[in-house]
Amino acid sequence: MIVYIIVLVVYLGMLAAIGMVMSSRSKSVGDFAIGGRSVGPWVTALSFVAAYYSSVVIIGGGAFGWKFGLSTLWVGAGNVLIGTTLAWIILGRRIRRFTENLDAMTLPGFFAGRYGSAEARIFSAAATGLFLIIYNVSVLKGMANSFEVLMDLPYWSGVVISGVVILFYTSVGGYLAVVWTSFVQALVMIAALVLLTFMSLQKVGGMTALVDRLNTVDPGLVNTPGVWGWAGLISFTLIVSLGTWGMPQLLVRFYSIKNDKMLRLGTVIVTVGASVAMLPYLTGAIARVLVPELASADQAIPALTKLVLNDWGGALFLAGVVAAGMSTFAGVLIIISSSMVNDVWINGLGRTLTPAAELKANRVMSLAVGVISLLIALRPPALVLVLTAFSWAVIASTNLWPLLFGLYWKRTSPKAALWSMVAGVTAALLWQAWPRLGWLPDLPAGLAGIHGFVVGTTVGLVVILIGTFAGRPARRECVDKAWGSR
Amino acid sequence: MAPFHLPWLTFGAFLVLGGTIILAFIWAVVDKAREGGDES
Repeated sequence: MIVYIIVLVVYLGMLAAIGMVMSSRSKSVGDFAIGGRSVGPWVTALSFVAAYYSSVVIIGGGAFGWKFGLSTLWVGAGNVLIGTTLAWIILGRRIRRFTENLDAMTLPGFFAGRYGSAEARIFSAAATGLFLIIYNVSVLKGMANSFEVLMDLPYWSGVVISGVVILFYTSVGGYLAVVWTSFVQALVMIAALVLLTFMSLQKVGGMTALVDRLNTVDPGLVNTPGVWGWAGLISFTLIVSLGTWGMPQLLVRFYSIKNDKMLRLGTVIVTVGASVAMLPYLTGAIARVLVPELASADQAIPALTKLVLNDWGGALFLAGVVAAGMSTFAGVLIIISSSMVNDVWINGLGRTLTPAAELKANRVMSLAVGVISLLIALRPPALVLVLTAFSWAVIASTNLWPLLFGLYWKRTSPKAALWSMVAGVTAALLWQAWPRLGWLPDLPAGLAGIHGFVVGTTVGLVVILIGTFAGRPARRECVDKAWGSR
Repeated sequence: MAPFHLPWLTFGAFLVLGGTIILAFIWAVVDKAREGGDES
C-alpha cells in the first residue's frame, strides 16, 4: 500500500505543479480556453490520446475483451483509423483554419460564425454542456472505482482525491495546464498499458499460446465476429470511433495547435500513440484465460493487474488508469466552462464583460462545473446513471453533421444544421428511452440492439441533407469569412 | 491460418492498425510535398 501512496502522491503533486506553472501563462480568455493557439504537435497529439481514452475505456475495454474475446481488437483498430487518424486528416486542418478565420474558441462559437445562427450556438452549447457534465460524472465514477478496487479505498475518497486535484490545476492553469498534464498523463497511461500487456503475455505464454488457450475455452473468443456478433461489434466500433468527430473536448485540440503545418507531424504521433487502444481489449482476452472466474467482467483488468504486476507495477497501472480519467475530465471541464461563459452568458444573454472579468468568469465557471460534477458523482442519482450510458451518443448526434457539412459544403443551410441537431438529439434520446417507456410497444429483437448513436446520427444526416436542398445557404459573408475569402 | 494461429479476419485488426500508421506517414509526406509544389 505504501508504494501505491508514494507513486500517487508524486504523480498528483507533479500535476498540481504543472497547473501552478501554467497559471502564469494564462493571461487572457484565449489562453484559458484554447492556449492562445500556441501548442506544439507532440503535446497536441498525445493530449488528444489522453482525452480520448478515459479510465472507462481501459476498464470497460478490458471487460469487453474478457467477455467477447479477440474480435474486440477491431474496436481498437477502429479507434485508431476512424476515431484518430481520419479525424485528424479530414477535420484537423479545416477546423484550425476556420476557427481562426471566425475567431471562434468553442464549437458552438464555430456554428454561430459559420452559419450566422445564434440558435445553433445556444442549442449546441446547452445540449453539449448538459450531457458533458453527465459524461464527466461517469468518468469520475470510473476513476473512483479504480481506487476502490486497486487500493481498497472507499469510493468517496477516490472521487474527492481525483476531483480536487483536477479542479485545482484546471481552474488555475486553464487549457494549457489541461494539455500539458494530459501530455504527461498520456505517457503514464501508455507506459502502464504496455507494461501490463507485456507482463500478461509473458504469463500466458505468448500470443500463440493465448490464442490456443482461448480456443479451448470457446472458439467464439478467437473468431470474428465470434460470440459478439456483427451487429454488436460494428455498432459499438462506430459509436466509439466516429463519435469522436463530434466531441468538443477532442476537437479543441485542432483549434489550439500552433499552425496547420504542425498537423502533419501531429497526425503521425497521434496515430502511433493511439495504437495503445488495442491493448485493453487484448489484455481483457488474456484475463479470460488467466482469471476466468470473475463476478463481473469489469473486474478483468484490476484482477489481471493484481495477478501479473508487483506493487510498483500495480501503482504505475493505477496511475495510468487515473491519468486516463483525469485528462478526460479536465478536458471536458474546460470545454463546458468556456462554452457556458462565452456562448451562453456573453453571446446568448448579451452580457458584456471586460477581458479580465471574462477570464475570471471562466476560472470560476470551471470550478463550479467541476464541483457540481464531483457532488453528483459522490452519490449519482439513478437518472444520471442511466443518462451516462448515452451521453456520448447525444453529444455526437448534436455536433457531428453540422460540423462536417459546415467544413466541407458551402451550401449547407443554417436552419438545416439547427434542425439536424434538434432531430439528432431527440431521436437518440427517444431511442435509448424507448424500452423504459412502458406505454410504447416493444421494439423487434433485431432493432432493439441498435444504439441511439446510430439512430441519432442517421436522423441528423437525413435532416441536414433534406433541409439543405430545400433551404437557403448561410449568408455570403459568413461563408466567405469561414473560408477566408475576405 | 494467420500468424499466432489467428483466423485472418481477427488478425485483420492488426493489419488495419499497421496500414493506418503507414497511411498517416504517407499523408504527412504527400501533404508536405504538395505544399512545396504550391509554393514553387
